[in-house]
Amino acid sequence: MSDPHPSEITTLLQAMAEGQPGAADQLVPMVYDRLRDLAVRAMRRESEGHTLQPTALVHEAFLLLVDQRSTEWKNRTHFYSMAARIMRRVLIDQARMRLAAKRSGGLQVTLNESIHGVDDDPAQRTVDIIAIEEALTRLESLDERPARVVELRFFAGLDVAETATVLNISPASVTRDWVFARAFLKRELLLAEGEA
Amino acid sequence: MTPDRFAQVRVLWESALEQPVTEREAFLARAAPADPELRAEVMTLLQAHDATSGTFSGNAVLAAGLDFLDALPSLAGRRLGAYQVTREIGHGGMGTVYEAVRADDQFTKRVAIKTLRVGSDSAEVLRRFRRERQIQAALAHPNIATLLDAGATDERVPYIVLEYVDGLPIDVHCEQKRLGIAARLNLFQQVVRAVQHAHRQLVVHRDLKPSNILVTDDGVVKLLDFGISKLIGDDHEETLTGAARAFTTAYASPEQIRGEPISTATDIYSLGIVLFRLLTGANPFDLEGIAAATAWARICDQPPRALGAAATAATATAMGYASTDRLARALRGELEAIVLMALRKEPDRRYPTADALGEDLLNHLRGHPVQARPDSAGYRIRKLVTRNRLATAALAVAFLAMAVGTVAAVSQAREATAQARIAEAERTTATRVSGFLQKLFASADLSWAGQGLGPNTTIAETIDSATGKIDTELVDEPAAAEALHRILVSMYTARRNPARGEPHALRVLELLGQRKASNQEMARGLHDLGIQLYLAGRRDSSLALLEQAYGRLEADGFPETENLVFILNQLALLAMDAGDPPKAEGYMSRALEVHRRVFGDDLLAAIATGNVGVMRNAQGDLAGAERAFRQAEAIHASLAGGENYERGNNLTNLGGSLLLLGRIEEAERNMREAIAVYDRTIGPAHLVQGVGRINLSRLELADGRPTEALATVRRGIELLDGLPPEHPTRTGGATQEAAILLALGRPAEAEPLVRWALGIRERWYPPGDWRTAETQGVLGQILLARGQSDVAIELLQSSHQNLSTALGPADPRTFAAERAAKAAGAGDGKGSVPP
Repeated sequence: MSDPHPSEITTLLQAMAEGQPGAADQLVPMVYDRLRDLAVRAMRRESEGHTLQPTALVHEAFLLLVDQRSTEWKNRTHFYSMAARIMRRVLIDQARMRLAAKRSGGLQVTLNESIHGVDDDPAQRTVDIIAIEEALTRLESLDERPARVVELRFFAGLDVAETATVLNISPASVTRDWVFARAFLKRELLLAEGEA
Repeated sequence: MTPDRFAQVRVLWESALEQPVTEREAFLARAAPADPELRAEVMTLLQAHDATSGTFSGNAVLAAGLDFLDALPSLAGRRLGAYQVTREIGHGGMGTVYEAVRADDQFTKRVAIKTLRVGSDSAEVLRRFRRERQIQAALAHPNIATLLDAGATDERVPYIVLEYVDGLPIDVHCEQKRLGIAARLNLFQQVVRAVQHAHRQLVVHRDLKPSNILVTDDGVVKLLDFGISKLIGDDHEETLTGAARAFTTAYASPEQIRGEPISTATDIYSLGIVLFRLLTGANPFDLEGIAAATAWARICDQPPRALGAAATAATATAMGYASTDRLARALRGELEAIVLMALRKEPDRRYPTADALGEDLLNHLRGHPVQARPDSAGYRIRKLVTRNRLATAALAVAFLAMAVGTVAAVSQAREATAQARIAEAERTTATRVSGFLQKLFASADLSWAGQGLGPNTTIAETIDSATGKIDTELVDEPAAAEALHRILVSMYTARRNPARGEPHALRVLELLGQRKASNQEMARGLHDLGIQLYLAGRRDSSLALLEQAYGRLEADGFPETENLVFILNQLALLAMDAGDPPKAEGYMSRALEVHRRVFGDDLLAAIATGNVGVMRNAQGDLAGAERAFRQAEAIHASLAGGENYERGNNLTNLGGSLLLLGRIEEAERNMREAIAVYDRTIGPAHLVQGVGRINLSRLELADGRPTEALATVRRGIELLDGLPPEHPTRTGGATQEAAILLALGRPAEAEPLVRWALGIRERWYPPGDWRTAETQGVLGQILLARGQSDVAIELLQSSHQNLSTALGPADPRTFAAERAAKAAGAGDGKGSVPP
């Protein structure tokens, strides 16, 4: 499938921002494919010791897919908002595939290997993304907004102000939601490992 | 859990989060007095909020997950106070590190910003930092990265601002710059100076390791993270083994692992590990790819590898040596002694100050005498010999008698025709052995400094101190060396000290291999080593060795000898541990059969019969167990050779069964008799005494004497000191202590103990094991007493189910669990542990 032209995406984004029905449905598969490609390439680099940074990937996708010249900030946040959801999907699908292929279901989704103050135990850094996804899904079913905050901040790297804009709530609410969601997710991880 | 309910949880959570940590429980009790479920939900969320990966260093996946969640989101591109964060640099054990610059135009000074993961109390961290400000100022030193500032993000995540250091970890730097030994030691001096400076300000680092010791391109050393541990309150954290401690395993000292007090000596130990690494490229304990608990046991109990043995090819090349052998040669002697002195297990036997370590290194480089002394055999013997020559002679004579006795026992199972020849050879050996010992005692000079070993030193300790000498002195008499090593193996087995026993057992196997010993002898050697591993908790390896031993006997067609008995006996015990009592009983019965045919009713028959009792107990056949224990006791009582400590074990077990059958007075009599037997046979300060006392405390509790029980169980736990920190036997003590504390109305103290025990039992024992189920039950009772009835009821029901499956529905332990589960369900909020 050929790369969608940036203006195509931009137009669709605009349409989505204006609330046109059907725009999202067209947009999502295009962006999904792109993000998946980027992620797969990144993971190949990961096996050589580089790591995956979802935020960077979303940013990269944004640069590639959206016509930079005619983009308002509103479109940008919408893009990121949608990309966050898609990125989440991509990472989980990848993790499940790896699990099915009997490789580790964890991804090294942490930060650059570097030197200043880095822990000596690289083996400990494989994160069980499937477990986190399950926890996030559970949170979603009980209270959608904090889960959305996690999605936007982690998968798309939006800061407090930007998240507040997308969700149309105050920054203080974003922070409170974030702290709560994190506690919930940690608890799910602890319960899964029988440590709580 | 519905969304509406969840909303309630959220509301309560928001208020509870505002409370100081110590006030939480009380606040929740006031805010939702009639809704324990709600309280529990919020409480667990708060606990999860505080949880950091440091507490779960034994579970890599969980730790990684927690780290991951705590590190989000990235601060890159944000403004933090006066600083602008430019990029993320790395992800450490305590937080994420970023590079930042001062936002004012005047300065573009680079700094490093580190977010600290400390759960909820960022305000407290900042308060502490301000208090520590003076100390931080005093910590200013050219080799220490200065702590510049601290603050909190708008999500209340505390961070610290450090001087930015552009450098490599010291080990990487040394390899890249291809520094030789002398150059590395000189570089190390900078580290020593920094640490000494900090110690003078009474600041202990606690986490020294190469990634915290950076070296700039022009060779300036900078130590990072001084005082951080203090800032985040490590000194207030719980000191239970396995819980709530953050350290890097590879560089951690035994006292850190055991949760004992930290001091400057701890830093010195870490310096020793770093030095070891600089000289060899490796870690003194081979910790690659093993479980945390195993690593901890190694660090606490095993001696470090010799520098030469650990030297890696990479380091040898970097240093300019043609081979690792050349490097190993350079590392022998003084340098080794210096490193080993820093790595002593006992803090007070290490270098007293960092300066002292540095000075010794300088002395070595300059060719001056060095302070460190290896723990050589000669050195230790010099400390042993007393001024009292008579006592020395008496020791030697006593040993002679014992040597003959042991050797004679081995010959029992041999054919008549061979016996005469063999007996003659063995008499010679015995003479040679005693000759060696007399030489040992008489030769050393009499300037004994009385350092902890005196006339009461046992024979085993005396000989063990000469271990190094056994092989060198008796190099031409391998039979004698073999005999001596064997004797030590059996002594350490009796004392349940596998750390000491294992090397001797290995040596015996080596010697057997060298002289191409028979299948029987090899089987025995394999069995003895297998026993050491079993005692150390390494059951899989133990089983492998036992199966090899069994194979050897099979090759010979299972001749009926004592070896067959020992091996079957041990296979039975291993089957027990694997959760297969019927298989275990099968092996054990066979062992008994063979034994009685070969030896009649002797000590081993008594032990085996007792073991059958243990197996029946584990299947819930208490009547059968009692019969077996009584049979065993009858045999013990009739033994011609006098009493053995195994009789004590049997009496303890008999007492345990009687207790379950409700015959408390009889049970107590037997348990106290057991302790008396131990006192008579192996002395008052032994591991098995610990187990005996823990069992006795169970009885005292059942008899309504909880205060006595507490004293007894604590004494018992003390006596278990020689075991590795996470040994399953310790969990029995912890569980029992928890049960007693609960009975005394102190559930808050009991909870951490039983959680620790449960964690270990779940890992060690097979699923559904009755011991794990019992511990679950105790935890359930404790949670019930603390108001968390939902979780408690689940636990109690699960415990009952598991016990019922393992022991059968009619076993008193199952009944007790059933009663407890019912009482909890009926809303009887009191917690009490049935016997």
